[in-house]
Order: sequence, then C-alpha cells, then structure tokens
Amino acid sequence: MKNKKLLILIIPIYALLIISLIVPVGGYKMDLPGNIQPISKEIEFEDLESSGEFYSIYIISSKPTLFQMLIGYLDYRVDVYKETTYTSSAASFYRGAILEDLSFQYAIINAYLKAAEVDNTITIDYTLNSYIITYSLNDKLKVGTRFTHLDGEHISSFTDEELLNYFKDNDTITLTTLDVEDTVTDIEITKTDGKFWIIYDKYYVINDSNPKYQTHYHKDSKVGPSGGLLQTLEIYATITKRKFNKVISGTGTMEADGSVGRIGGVKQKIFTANKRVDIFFVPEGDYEEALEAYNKIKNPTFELVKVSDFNEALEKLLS
Amino acid sequence: MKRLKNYFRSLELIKVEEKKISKEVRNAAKDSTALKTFFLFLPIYLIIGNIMFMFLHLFNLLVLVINLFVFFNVYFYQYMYYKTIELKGMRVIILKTIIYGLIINAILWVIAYIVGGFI
Repeated sequence: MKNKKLLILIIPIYALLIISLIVPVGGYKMDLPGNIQPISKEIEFEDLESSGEFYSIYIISSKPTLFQMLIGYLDYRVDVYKETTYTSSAASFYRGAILEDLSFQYAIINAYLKAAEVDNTITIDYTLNSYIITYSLNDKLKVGTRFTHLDGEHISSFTDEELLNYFKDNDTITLTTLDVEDTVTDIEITKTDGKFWIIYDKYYVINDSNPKYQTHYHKDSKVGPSGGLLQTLEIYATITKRKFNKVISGTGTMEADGSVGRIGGVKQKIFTANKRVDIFFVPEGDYEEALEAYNKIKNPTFELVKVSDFNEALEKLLS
Repeated sequence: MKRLKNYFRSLELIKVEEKKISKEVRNAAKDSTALKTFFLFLPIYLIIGNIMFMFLHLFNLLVLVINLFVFFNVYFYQYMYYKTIELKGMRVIILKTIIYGLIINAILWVIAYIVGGFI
C-alpha cells in the first residue's frame, strides 16, 4: 500500500522529467556556440590554390527542451528567445539561402574589383539584373521575388537614392516582378500605415570573370549571409595570391557597396572563435555586443577587430 | 598464483550455483532488473545528451561521463540481478561490469567519433 502511494507520486514526476528532457518547447528557439568552417570549401578557382586562411563561424539554432531552456537562461553564452515568423525554421532557412546567394555575389564582385586595382589581369563582368525582396510584411510580395520595373520604368534608370525616394513619394506602385522561374507578373502594391513593408537588395548577374570560379556554398545545410566579409577576403587573398599566416575569422554581411552589415548571434560567435582563431572581424554595429562577450572570456586567444567596410578589414590584414 | 586460482574457482562456483536456479526464474529476474535499470538511467543519459548538444566544446568530456555511467549502469544491473536471484557474487559482478562496460564503451567511442566528426 505504501509502495503504491510512493509509485503514484513518483510516476508523474518521472514522466515530467522525461518530457522536459525530450519534448522541444513550442514557440521557442535557442542560439548556441557552434564551430568554424573553412571558406575555401565554398568557392574554388581555376588554376589557383585557395588561401585557406579564412574561416566563417556558424552558430547552432534549435528548438530547446525545457531542461535546455533552463540551462540556457543560466548560461551567458546561450540565448533563448520566442520564435517569430522570420526565425521559424522554414521561413528563416529560405530567407537565409537568398541572403547567402546575395552575399556571395557581392563578395565576388567586391573582391574582384579590389584585386583588379593591383593586378590588371583580374577582371569581372557583371550586370544589375533586378532588385530582390529580402524581407516582406507586404501581402502581395514574397521574400525572393525580384522586380525589374517600377511603373513601367526599368530599374537601371534609377540611382539608389532615386529608387528609395520613389518608394517614399508614391502610395501605389506597379512592380514588374520575376519569380524563381523568371515568370513576369505585374503586381500593384499599396502603402499601409505609410509604408510598403519591404526590404530589397541588388541582384546581379556575373557574366564572366578572370580567374574563373565555381561556388559550392549551396551544397551544405548552413545558410545565411554572415560570412560575407570573410568570403570577400578569402576571394581577394586567393586571386591575388596573398598569405597572412593567421587563422582569420569574423562575421558580417557584405553589402553591394563594400560596407559590412550587422548580423545576429555575435555573442555565440565570439565564444566559438576562442581557442580556434587568431583574428576576428566584427561589424561596427555589433561591436559593443561582441566586446561585452569578448570581455567575459578569460585570456582570449584572438584579437577582436571592428570594421565598417571591406577596405578597412583588408588594411588591417596588410598592416 | 594460488590466489588467482581461488579467484577463478569462486567464479566457477557462483556460475554453478546460478545454473541450479531455474531458467524461468533467472529470465524473470533479468527482465525486472533490466526494466529498473532502464528507468533509473534513462534520465541520466538524457540529461547528459541535452547538455552535450548545447555545449559542443564539452563533447569529449561528456562522452567520458557517459562512459562512467555505463559502468554504473552495468554494475547496477548485475548487482540487482544477483540480489533478485539471491546469490552472493560480488566477484562475478565486478568482472562482468568491467568486461561489458569496456565493450559498450568501445562501441560508444566509435559512435561518438562518427557523430563528433559531423559536428
């Protein structure tokens, strides 16, 4: 009888313990320190040996169990947060894949243009194909949709500022869009609460280059633009045959104009970098968060460097 | 040498004693012991697995912790089994714990190496 009472008490506690260790908590995600990955695996050049000194850093994002959530709240290196539409697995993976594509485009263009300054045999031929939607809360436009015309006028007739002002000044615009299969459709969009609720980026097509290259970045399961700066540096170092004799890593997106953009998960990346790299580049906008994490590490093994654009990072390496 | 002979002699005696107990009783003891061991050690392994996934830099250390718990696991199973069939066989328990523990841990390291390689 006594044993039975004890069992009745123990079984639910035991069941709860097992559930808290197995079942992921719905609506939550956690970011964890991950690992480093050589960028040379992502791009290969004809008749050139990859630099192999540059590493991108990835973090691990997953749904936590209740037990992991508790540990996550206690551990500074782990971030637990509520899932939103843009952090939910499918949407964030698709958007991450698009941003990774763009990041590589910008990295290649910027690296080749910079390398062409020191070696005139290096060339790149590219054209602005369209603008691509990278964030959308607009019902009519999906992430990944590209547009080539605004109210019948081709995008090439707008400067960046003019395009931005066109969106600001008009309440309704007809966009000529292309989907993944290049099907042309006219979509009329209207402002709600004074905004169109979209973010767009330049989408280039690279027609030719010397040296020729082949990308492999889409073959792995990791997506996202955070390796943009490091990709640019790796490409530059490879095609100009420069060696720095360091393990170089960092984070930050590469923008079309060569500036380095902010990225998430900086804290986890700093902890991942320790004992693995010699130098870590961080975008200006993320520097404070990175420095806070950096200061928490006892005897850090790497140098934390703040950069605002590709040129600044290159100058630091060449100095 | 004499001590070693005695040791193996005592192991044999326990084995003989064990054979005297009917197969049904032994199997029933094995089943109930396996169930108890499973429920006792499952949360421990799950806790280690949860932590292992969160802190990849502790991967090897946590594999070692699992190795240690494998020995506890095997020891507990053998101890409960011999207790259930009412036999005093500490020497057999320790010997089996070491042999089974080493075999399971060897397999675990192979799995850990394969999983660790992918991380």
